[in-house]
Amino acid sequence: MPAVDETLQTARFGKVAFKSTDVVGFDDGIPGFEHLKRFLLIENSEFEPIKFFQAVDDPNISFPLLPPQAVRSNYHFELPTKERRHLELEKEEEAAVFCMVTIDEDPTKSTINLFAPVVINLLKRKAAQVILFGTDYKVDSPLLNS
Amino acid sequence: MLVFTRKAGQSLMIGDNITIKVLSVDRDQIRIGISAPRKIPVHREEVYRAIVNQNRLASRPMALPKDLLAKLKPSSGEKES
Repeated sequence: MPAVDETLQTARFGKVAFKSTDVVGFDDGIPGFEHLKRFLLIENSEFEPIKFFQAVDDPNISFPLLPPQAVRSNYHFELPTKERRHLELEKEEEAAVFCMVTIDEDPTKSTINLFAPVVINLLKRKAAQVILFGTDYKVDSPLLNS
Repeated sequence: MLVFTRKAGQSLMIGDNITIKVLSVDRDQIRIGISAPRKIPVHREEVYRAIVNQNRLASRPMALPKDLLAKLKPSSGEKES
């Protein structure tokens, strides 16, 4: 599929230029945002190490993300078979994992969602928010002081 | 709400491809088995709602405090894995 150059006006990043092949598809949507299926992974040095998923179809919606190992070096989970099939993941190296971050004005109250990480198939550009049933991970673990 | 009385081993069907089966009953705990097509997500309600709520909070257009970003940079601490 040929890449088509597109632009998007966003609330957080202003005008964003991207290629159609950059879009990551959330076929099942993100819980609470099921109507949004297409996202762009935004990496901007101004916000490092935080990255974002910006909704292509709603300029106001973006999710701050962090690789979980950035704050929990021993973070680990087994991707359920159902999710692995859904994402068409064959090898672990094809996957990237990010956790959503909830920013608070008070940095000590900012949290990270370790219970429902976002798994991306980098080759197929497919992603899903996976729920880790049966683990002790929380949706709102403190981001700092871990 | 439709209300049914079922015994362990008995099922309900929703449409022609979703089956909800009562597997066992033990005092105040009931084990339920659900067979549904993959495209129908099945969730524990309170867990799903907690994730929805957290996602909504995460999506708020908050500015990123500079001191937070500084603390997250691997070079600033011992958190590098």
